[in-house]
Formats: sequence, C-alpha cells, structure tokens
Amino acid sequence: MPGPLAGLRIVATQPPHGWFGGVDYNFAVEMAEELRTLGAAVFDLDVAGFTSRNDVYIHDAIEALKTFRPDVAISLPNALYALICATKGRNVFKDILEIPTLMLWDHGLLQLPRQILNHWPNTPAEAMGGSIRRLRKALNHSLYLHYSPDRGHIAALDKLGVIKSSEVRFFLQPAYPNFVRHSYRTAPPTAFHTRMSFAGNVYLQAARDLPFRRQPVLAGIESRVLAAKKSRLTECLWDLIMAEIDALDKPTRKEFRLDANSTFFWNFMHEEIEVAGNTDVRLSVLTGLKREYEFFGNFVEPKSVSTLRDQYRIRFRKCLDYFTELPLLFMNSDVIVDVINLGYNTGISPKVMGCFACGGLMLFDYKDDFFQSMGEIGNQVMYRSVDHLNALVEEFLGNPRKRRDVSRYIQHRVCTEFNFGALSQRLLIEEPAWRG
Amino acid sequence: MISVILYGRNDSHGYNLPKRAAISLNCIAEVLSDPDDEILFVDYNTSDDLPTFIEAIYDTLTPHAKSRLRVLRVRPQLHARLVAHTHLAALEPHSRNIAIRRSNPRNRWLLFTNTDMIFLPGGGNSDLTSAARDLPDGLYVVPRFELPEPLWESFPRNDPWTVMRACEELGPKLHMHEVTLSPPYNRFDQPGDFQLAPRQAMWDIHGFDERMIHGWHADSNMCKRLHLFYGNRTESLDHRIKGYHCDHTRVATLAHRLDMKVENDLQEFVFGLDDPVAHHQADTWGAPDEPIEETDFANGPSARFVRALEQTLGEPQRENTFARCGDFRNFVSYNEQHVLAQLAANFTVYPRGARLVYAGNNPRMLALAARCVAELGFANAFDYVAELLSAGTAPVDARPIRPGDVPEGNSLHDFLLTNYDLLIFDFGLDQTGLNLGRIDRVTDWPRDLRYSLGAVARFLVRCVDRSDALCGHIPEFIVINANHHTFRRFTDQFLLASDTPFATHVRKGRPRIGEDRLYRSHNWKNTEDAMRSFFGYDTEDHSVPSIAVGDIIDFTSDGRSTPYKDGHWGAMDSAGTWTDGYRAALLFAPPPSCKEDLLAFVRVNEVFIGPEGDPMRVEVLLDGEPLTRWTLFSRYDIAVCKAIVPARLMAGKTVCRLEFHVENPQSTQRAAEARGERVVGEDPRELGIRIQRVEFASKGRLRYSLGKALDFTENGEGADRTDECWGPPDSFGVWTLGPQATLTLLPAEPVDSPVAATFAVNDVAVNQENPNLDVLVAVNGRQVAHWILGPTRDTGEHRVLLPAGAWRAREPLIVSFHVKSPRSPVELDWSTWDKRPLGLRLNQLRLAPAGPSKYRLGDVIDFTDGGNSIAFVGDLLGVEWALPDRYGSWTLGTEAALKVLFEEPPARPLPDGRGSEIPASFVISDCMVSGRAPKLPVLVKANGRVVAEWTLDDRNVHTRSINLPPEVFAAGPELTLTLEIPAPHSPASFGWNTDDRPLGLRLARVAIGRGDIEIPVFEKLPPRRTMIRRILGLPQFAVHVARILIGRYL
Repeated sequence: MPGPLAGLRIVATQPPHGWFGGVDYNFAVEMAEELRTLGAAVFDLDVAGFTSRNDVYIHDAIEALKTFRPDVAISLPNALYALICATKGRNVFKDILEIPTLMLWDHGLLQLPRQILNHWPNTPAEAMGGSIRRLRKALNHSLYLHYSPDRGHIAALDKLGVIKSSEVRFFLQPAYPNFVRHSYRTAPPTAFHTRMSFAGNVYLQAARDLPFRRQPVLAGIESRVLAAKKSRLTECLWDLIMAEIDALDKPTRKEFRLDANSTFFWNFMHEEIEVAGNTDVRLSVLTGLKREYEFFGNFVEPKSVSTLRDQYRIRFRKCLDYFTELPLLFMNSDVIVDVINLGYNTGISPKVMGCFACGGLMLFDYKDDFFQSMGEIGNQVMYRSVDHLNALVEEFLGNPRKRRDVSRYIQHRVCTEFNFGALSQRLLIEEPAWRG
Repeated sequence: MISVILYGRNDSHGYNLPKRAAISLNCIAEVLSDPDDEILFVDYNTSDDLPTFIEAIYDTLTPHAKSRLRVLRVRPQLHARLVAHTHLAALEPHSRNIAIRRSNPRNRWLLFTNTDMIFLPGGGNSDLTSAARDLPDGLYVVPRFELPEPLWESFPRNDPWTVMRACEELGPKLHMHEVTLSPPYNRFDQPGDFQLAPRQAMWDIHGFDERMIHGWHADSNMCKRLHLFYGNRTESLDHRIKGYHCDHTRVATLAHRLDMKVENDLQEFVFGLDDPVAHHQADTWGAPDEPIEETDFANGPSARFVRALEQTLGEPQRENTFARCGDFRNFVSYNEQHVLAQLAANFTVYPRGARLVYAGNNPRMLALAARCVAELGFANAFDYVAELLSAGTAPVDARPIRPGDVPEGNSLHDFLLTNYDLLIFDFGLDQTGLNLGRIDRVTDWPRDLRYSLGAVARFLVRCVDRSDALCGHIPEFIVINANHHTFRRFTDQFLLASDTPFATHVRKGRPRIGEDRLYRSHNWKNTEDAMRSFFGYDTEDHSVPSIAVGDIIDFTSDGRSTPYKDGHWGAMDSAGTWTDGYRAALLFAPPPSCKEDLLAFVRVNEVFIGPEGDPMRVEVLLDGEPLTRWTLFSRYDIAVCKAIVPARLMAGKTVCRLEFHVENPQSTQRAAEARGERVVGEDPRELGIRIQRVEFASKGRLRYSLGKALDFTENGEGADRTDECWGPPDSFGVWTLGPQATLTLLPAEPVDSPVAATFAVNDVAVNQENPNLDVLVAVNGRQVAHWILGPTRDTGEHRVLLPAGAWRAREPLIVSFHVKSPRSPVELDWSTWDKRPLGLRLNQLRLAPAGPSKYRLGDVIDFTDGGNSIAFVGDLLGVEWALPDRYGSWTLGTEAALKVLFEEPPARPLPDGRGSEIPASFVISDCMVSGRAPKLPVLVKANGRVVAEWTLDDRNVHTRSINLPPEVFAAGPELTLTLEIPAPHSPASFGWNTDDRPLGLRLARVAIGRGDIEIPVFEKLPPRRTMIRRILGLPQFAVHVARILIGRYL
C-alpha cells in the first residue's frame, strides 16, 4: 500500500555531520528516513558541499537535482540549512531550482538573524546597521514557506518588520522519529532510572564571560530582566528585554545600538537569552526544587561540572547521548523537570515532545502554544512558579498511577498527532500551502 | 532395561540449575545397573552459539553418569519448524518424544523424570533397575518429597552416594516425607517427576501430545492416557522408590510466575480426555524423519578442541607476544596463532556437518583455521570466498567458493547465507614477508592490501542486507579483528555482536535486520568516511583511472577519489582529504596521446600549521622527479597550488604517480597538547594539507596574450597564474603570503621587442610603525625592479621592463615577488587573529610591448601614459620615476635617470675633442613650485657630465632644450641623462593633497638630436558628471540620505 507521501519528490537538506556534535545531522537523517517511509522520494542535499565551497559537488548536485525534478524542498532539521544552500549569491531552491521550500524554524527569532546577519559584535561600537533589510531580503520570498513552532516568535518578527505574521504558519514542535521509535521499545528498566531528573544545559562560564556585563547599562538590563523572569516564570524573556529597551531614553538606545536594525541588538538578545537567561533561570528553578534530583547534560561546558557540584549542590550524573541514552532517561525516570529553552517565547522545544513520545513525564514552565494545541491536559504538566512545580512533583511522585495515566495519554497524542510524520503529512498533503 | 528421559536447555532455568542438575544426573546414574540402561537428555533449543547444557556441566558429572548419558541436540531451527506460538523456550512433549523415538530399543521401560530428581531405591531393591525388573506393564508413579534449597545446595554434587544417604537420613529427620495425593489417574501431585511406563506403550499411544505447547499438565495428560490405556490403573512404586525433588523456586521461572501462569487446557487434555491414543500425531510424533544430532563426548569438536589446536599450531609459544588495545597505527595486524584458539572456540558448538566459510584476505589465518577445522573433525572442508583472497595462496584443505559455484540465479551472498552455518569475516592482514618495517600508520600498508579489507567490509554489508531480504534462517557471523577502532564501529553498524575483550580479537553476532537496523547517523558517516579513506570501502574497482584535460578529482567525501589515492592519505570528510604522513600520492593513467604538458591545480583548503607557526612545505614529484615545491602559510585560506606535469615524464607510461611529499607534517597530538588540551590515548596523526580537489588542465590555462589585463580579483582569471603563496582572491585582489610569491605566464605569441609589465598594487602591509615594504621583483630569476612600497597603502601601478628575450621563448615566464619583511595583520594591528604573512595585494597585471629599445636620433620619447618611456627608464620606473599619467611622468626623489642606447652612434668627437654638439629638447608639463617654494633648481647631467642647470618656476607646460657636447658620447653609443633635483617637494607639503611622494618635475617628452619639440595636445577628460546631471540627481540623493537616516534611527 503506497504511503501518504507517495509520488512526492522532495529535496531535503542534510547538515554537515560534524556540526553540533552531529545532532542536527542525525535529526535530518531520521526525518528524511521518515519521509521515505511515508512514501516520498527524497534527495539528500549535503549542506557540507556548500559550507566547504565544493564547486564540483555543488555543480553536480544541482544537475542531479534538475534531473530529480523535486516538487518541493524541505529544510531539515530547520530552516537555517536551506539558507546555506547558495552558490554565487543564488539560493539553490528559490533561485536556481525555483521550487517551494518549507522552512521549518526552530527558535527562529534568535537563530535566523544570527545565521543571516553573520555578525556578532561584542560591543555597540562594532555594530553594523541594515539588519532588518537584510533579514527581510533573506526571508521574504514567495517560494519560502515559513513554519514556526512559536507564535511568540511570529509576532515578534512581525512587530519588528522582518516578516509579516501572515507569512509564517504555526506548528507545534513535533517529536522526532527516534523518540517515537522508542515508544515501541521496551527499555531496560533500570537504565538511568531516577525519581526526578533534569536533562539540559547551563552555560556558567559563557554567561560569566559575556562582554555586556562590563557595561553598566547593559548589565543593568540583564539583572532587571532576569529578576523579573525568575519572579514571573510565565513571561518570556524576549518581551521582558524589549520592555526594558523601550523604557530607555532614545539617546541611550542609540548609544548602545539597541535597535533591531543593528547587529549588536541581535547578538545582545541572543546571548542574554540563550546564555545568561538559560543559565540563570534554569539554575534558579532547579535550586528551588524541594526534592533531590539528578542533573544530566551540560555537554557544552563539561568543565563547569565542578562548579555545579560545589556551588549549586547539583548532583551531576553524566552527559547523555541524545539519541541512545536520553530516551532511556525519559522512559525510566518518574519525573523529568525542565525549564524550556528561553529562546522559545510561547512554544516548546523538541525535547519536550521527545520525552512524552517515549513515555516520559516532563514538567515544564507554562507555554501557551502547548496549551493551545494539547488542551487542558497541558495544565497537568506545566508549572507557573517554582512552588507550583514542587506541588506537581509531589503529586506525580506520590501517585504513580496518575503519572502513568497522564504520560500515556500525552504519549498517545504525541505519537499519533504531533510527531514528525504527522507534521509532514500536514504540511505536504493536508495543508499543501506549497502548491501555491 | 530402562531409558531415563530428561530434557532441558542451556539457560538459567530456575535457581542454581547446574548444581541441581549435576546432583540429579549423578544420582540417577547410580541407580541404573543394566548394561542397556541409559540416560537420554534432550538438549532442546539451546542457542546455536552455546554448547549443550550437558557439555556445560560435563566436568561435574561422575564417570558413571558420563557412561550412561546420551545427549540429543534439537537446534533452534528444528524447534522453529516443529512448534509455533509458544511462550516457552523448551517444550516437554516434543523433547520427550524425540528421546522416546531414539531410545534404546532393547529397553523395556522408559522413565520420564527431570534433572532435579534424586531416587532412593528401597523395599529390598538395590537400584531402580532391579526395582523395575519384575514389574508388570503399567504406569508407575512415586510421590515426590521436596528438598529445600539450602539442603541440596549443601550436597556435594559429584558424590551421589553421599547425596542419597543424606536424603535417606534427613528425609525423616527433617519431616520431609509428606505424600501429596492427587486425582486417581495422577495418584500423586507433580507426577511428571516419575512416570515409569513400558516403551512399547508409548508407541501404542503415539507419545506425548505435541499439541500441548503451553507448558503445564503434559504429565497429567500422560498419566490420564496411560491410566486409560491400562484399564484405569495408575500404580504406585513408592514401596520400592523414593523420589526427592531439589526445589528451585527461589526465583520464578517462566512456568512459575504467579502473575502469568500460562497452561494447557485442563478440560481438553486431562479432565475431558477419554482416548489414550494421540491419533492426530500417529506418524509425526517425535520428529521421526528429522536427523537429530547426538553429542559425541569422546570425539566431537568440543572433545578435540585442545588437541586440534595443538596439532594446528605445532610449536608452542616461546615468549609473550604483545598487542595494544589502543593501537591506532597498525590496527589491521594481529597475531593469527593467538587468535586461532579464540576463533575455533566458536566452532565447537556446531555439528560435524556444519559448513563454515571464510571471507577475508589473510592467508595465514585461513590456513590455520582450515587446518583446525579439519582437526576438529568437521565433515566438510573449510570454505573461503575466493574473490576476497588476493594476498596469497589458499591452503589445500580450504575450498574456494567462486561465483561460478553458485547455482544460477543465486547471488554469492544468498548462497552463503542459505548454505552455511557460520560466516567468518576477517578484518586483518598478514604482515609476514612484506618487510614493511615499522608501521607508523595504517597507510604504511600497501594500498591493494588495505583496499582488500574494504572489499571484505562490502561483502559483509551485502550479506547483512541480504539477510534482511531473505527472511529465513540466518547463519551466525564472526568478525576477526573488529574489537576496536574503525572496524569495531563499522561492524557495530551492521552486526549485533557482543563486545568481547580485545585479546580475543574475535566477535560473534548476528546481522542487524528489521528493527535492529541502525540509521546512518553522524557516527556512521565518520566511520564510513574512514573506511573509504583507508580501505577503499566505496569503490569496487581500484584500478588506476585515466585522466584527461578538464578532469577534476573531488577529494571530499562527496567525490570518488579512492582509486586515485595511494600512500599517506588520512581522513576524508566533506571538506577534503588530509595528507597524514609524509608521502601522499595521486595515481593516474596519463592520457593516451600525451603530447602536451598538463597543469595540475591542487586546491588546498586547510593547512595544519603546527604550534611553531611554520609554513607547510610540500615537494611535488612525478615518479620521483621533482616538479615543484609549495610553501603554504595560511591555515584556513584556500590555496590553489599548481604543478606542471611534463608530457615527457608521462609518455609511454600506464600509471603515473604524482606524489606530494610533505616535508614537515605536524602531529595533531603535539598541537593539541600545545593548546593545553588533554589527549586521551595516542593520536598518531601527522597532518599536512587538506586537499579539496585536483584539476587537470591544459597548460594553455597559463597562456597570456600581450595587452590583456589580468584581473586578480575573485571575478578574474589572474588567480590561475598565482602559486600557493598568494591568498584567495577577493573583490580587491590577491595578497602575497610569505617571503616569495610567484606568477606564471605562458607567452601566447612570442615577440622580440621589449615587453613591459604593469602591476596594479592596491594594498601593502605597512602601517605607521612600518611605513615601507621592500620588494624585489624578478623575472625568470633575474631581478628587474626593487620597490620600496608605502607609506601609502594603495600604491597604484608599477611598471617594469622584462629582461630582453623573456617573452620570446615558449617557456613559462615566472614573475616572483620577494618580500623582505612580510607582516601579519596582527603585527599591523589590522586584526586580532590573522597571522598570515602579507606583502602586497595585486589587483591587476598587464604586459605590453615597451616599444623599440634602441633610439634613433630625433625620435620622441613619450613619458605619458601609453608612451614608450619604459624602454628607456627600465627598472627605475616606480623608483626614480612615477608611473606615467596622461601628462607625463614625475621624477621621484633627488635623482631621475633615463638610459638611451642609440641605434647608430651619434657623431663621435674629433681627436682634438671638438665635434658637433647634439641638441636635446624636453617638454615639461609640471613642476613642484608654489608660493612657499617658487623655484626648483634642476641639474641636468649627461653620462655624468653637467650639461645644464635649470631653475623651474612655471607650472605651465613648456619646453626646454640643451646641447650635448660631443665628449659625452666618447664612451660609446649610450647616454644616461640624469635630472638631479636637490630639493624635491611633496604635494602634501604644499597642501595640495595627501600625496607625500617627493616629486620634482613632470616630464612629458624628450627628443635627442632635435633642438625643438612640439608640445602635445593633452587629452582632457570629460567631467564625470555634468552640472545639469548633478542638479537632476539631487532629489534622488536626498531620498538616499533619508533612507539611511530612517534605517538608523527608526
């Protein structure tokens, strides 16, 4: 029986396998396999050929693609990689093949400007202008079909005049195939068994080294917004920083290049949210937990482990392999606590859906997009304050049956409605905006 | 008299299975006394890679037990054929029936019991045999008494009489003798532990009911049927035999789990049963037509193991051998004699008729294994895949399998998978006799041998793929030398093989098929690239390909460079292939009609600069003859290196070897340690350059036609002519890197006349602290100019006259720039990280005829742009003379000279010194005078003699003339006219502009032999934008400014 994508010819990006520890590559390989399983013919376009400026590969790949005659391109695992596929200033998909391209954002509000502007000044003096124009130029094209897993990002970029919200469609971040596959497996029950765990990263050293902290005005913004975020976990850090910036007088804003047209603004926002925000807010929540928990991860800063142990009394266990070990932790832990990557405004990270897909139970800070998509069950697993989190932890640890019921219900929904296979069917077949 | 029938499996059924089984078997053997008595153990469904249960505990059995034991092995394949859909791994009805069918026909009785029973004869009987001797036909059962675990665990397993005496003594003492009654057909509970019945009766009722595949009640079924068969009678033998049961419920077995008791239907098989005969299986019970393997304890492979190894290995090991478990250098080599025992240990579990096949290229291992297989007593020869064995000849006792041996329509892989029990893949090579010396890296091995392991790897992958497709019984796979490093990662992708200790060098497993398949992760990609790099995994045909003009060999993992590579090539990835070691070679078959030299463009996209920052030096050779040398300075800049491959060296050859001899490769470990990084284990890599691609082009790519401007920016073709000591072209041009950078041009049309080269230099590595850059320019090794560039960074055009004849030959013209003190952007404070040794940035080069080099009296020497002054100024242009503009050429500094070689000698002076004077006239188009310095003194010398003194005070174009006395020409037909300007001024000093060159006068024309000279009409440039256009453009300009302001502030 032909799969739902039978007959579709898709070109999918395949990231350089050495980037980010191979995680993006592995995601993309799995996603492309999923498209094949669903019946599509998939052409894997090696992005490394473009990053290494391999003219021979690029030429051959374009010729092969012309022969392949793709109906649509899909940027796997996220939209960054489609932007990289360019030669002599022309994008392979929109300019050379002239095919519709599905741009699946991750936390695009911070990632896309970083990639497109490619200028990360540490000081306002080094800033370059013209950011909005460049972002607009890179993203706005009738053949690019943008999808964001975060309604907050869509609104923010619209407000900044980068891309209209009507041009970006929302999708709830799906569970990636590896985690769905684990839902069909029986895990060794004691592998990484914990009562309660956190799996993620904090960036102690990088946060300490942020150059903005040496500037009183910028340091002031940081301390105020982090304090606000920690006291009101449901608010997103982007909005808090924007409010602080708006409150500055115009000359100060100008002096510190805190306008979206400046490359410094984007670097400041990125570093404050991804580095300082994630570190400070996650540690604040974790140290507020009343029960003992295990800390997994921190592959970015292995040298900070001793600080976590000594200064924060965190029981660091180990860095887990994302594909083979993390699912076991999710499956075998009674409760996973999380603070969603602060790069998301209203959406969730794929880690959440991965945890639910393989049968785990994750408690995370309130994200409206999750609630909107999952309904009332979302409130069972989202906390609004540290006290609320502690109460939820006690409830689930004290009632294993409830833990099972909730996780199984969400697992079923994730594995049937919110996995990558279902998403691709939606984007490619059910709502084929790309057919234009 | 009696065949005792037991069954079991080599697993961990229940608690402390080996001990209770040994106690039981040894005790049972002691109560058998008739010569025909036997203990038949059916080893049911033990995994093929394990020995039978009895073999596993054989050392704990008494000689008596060993002499009575027969072991029938039912392999998993037969189990799969016989039974479907059971949760049990061992099935009682099938096991017992197979034993019944094959029991000693001379025995009247069969006893069905289990390997946890101890029998004590009583009632005056010395043993079980005598207790049964006078019994009439019927079913006899005994009650069973439970021995708790601590009790039987205290028994000595190999002393059956002590055990039986203990039971006899402790049974009453410990109040164990409780008889558990059961329905009349069973008589006692747990009847399956002692059911004695005539052998013939089992044929009459067709054995145990083989429909009972859910475990419990097979014994009750048998009781009920024999009860019916013997007229509703079940006899007790408790007056002659006591049965003790070693309890083993400390851990639950599949049969004992409380929450999941699966059982056969009691109603169907016991309560409602009224016919003792199992008619449905009359012809099939006990698998009558299946050959059942019987373990040969005396002479089977297991028994012969040690002797077979001794026979095969011959001489004992004299001293320890050593192997490094973290060996990343010579990891294709292993000690075959050591590995043999580990390999052969896996053979002993196979039946004698097993078929084993070897897929590898280690003739030594093959010979040892083949001999050992024969010594182990296997019926079939040891086979090998002939197409994979190229390193030597096979031994006579090994049999080749060739594609032709395979039945038509079958692939070799399918044939092996469906006809063999064990496939052995060898990832090792035999070093014997190769004289390889010390192996520093795996690429020290000959390429053909290395690539043969790629063929083994491909063969393995195809077998795995076909295993998935065939969907039937899959033989087991053994891999040799896949315990660490690349081969381990490779096999892990395709096999589920246990991690064995390194010292075994052998792993056994099964193919990953179905759900077990792994997706091709980044780890696999790394492994695949390594397999391609070192073992030619990606290419079946390793013959050396031919090349032609225009061919490009892509050295990235997207390309197919494997057949071309030999020697010290390292890891390949999406960016290219590293040289790893000293000699990396590119093999190619030259074009058939190789009359022209080839040009090899080698694109290097990374250079492994060591901690000292020394440039990488590479010598390029063709078949040992040096072609060129490269020096690479920049780690990440792309450098296109060139080598001309002479036709004469390729002529008549079938294979050429273009070798890159890296003179100073750098240790990655040393570099990491220098950065303060910790290196775990050893990193033996010594990297040089990473090559992205090699392009073969015609030498015509270097051809150059006079007059053409060569553009050195990224959009031009100039970079084709640069060597590797130039940076990558950008939108401004190319930088020289290091102390010497060269350009190579091939004259398209030779000319005899002088040729001038004009270089546009638009940046120089200077700053305030280092205001000048000293550059010598040489053509074909001969210096033609000495430039002092700076302090202005954009130094504009520089013109040099090529040496006579330089453009005449059809040989390449080499222009080299020798930069005395290259400076890095870091030194110049231009960058915080860029340490490239920069010199000058070349934007454009143009060669053009310089006009006649000899002067005819009266001709005009034109100093304006496009004039012929270069022929007379020569290498002083740019030094004493500024580059011409449309009004002429400024003198630079305090002295500016021009040399004139007359076609015919001017009038020679008379002997008395008199003679006619020769006039000379000059057009001066400007001079450096202003209100502050209104006069410019100029001394004019001819061949060192002062011939005029001028004082210039007029910036307008005007002429001057002088007379050259005849003595000037006394030395010969050569005249050096020198303009000495003691006080030159710079435009900057006059506030005219920022030009700080010390200028004197601007000469437009000179004529010798004429007293008058015509002032030329200088071309006037039209204004760039007329006033009207400027006015019209104002609104547009305002909009532009507004946009900038809006963008910046809103």
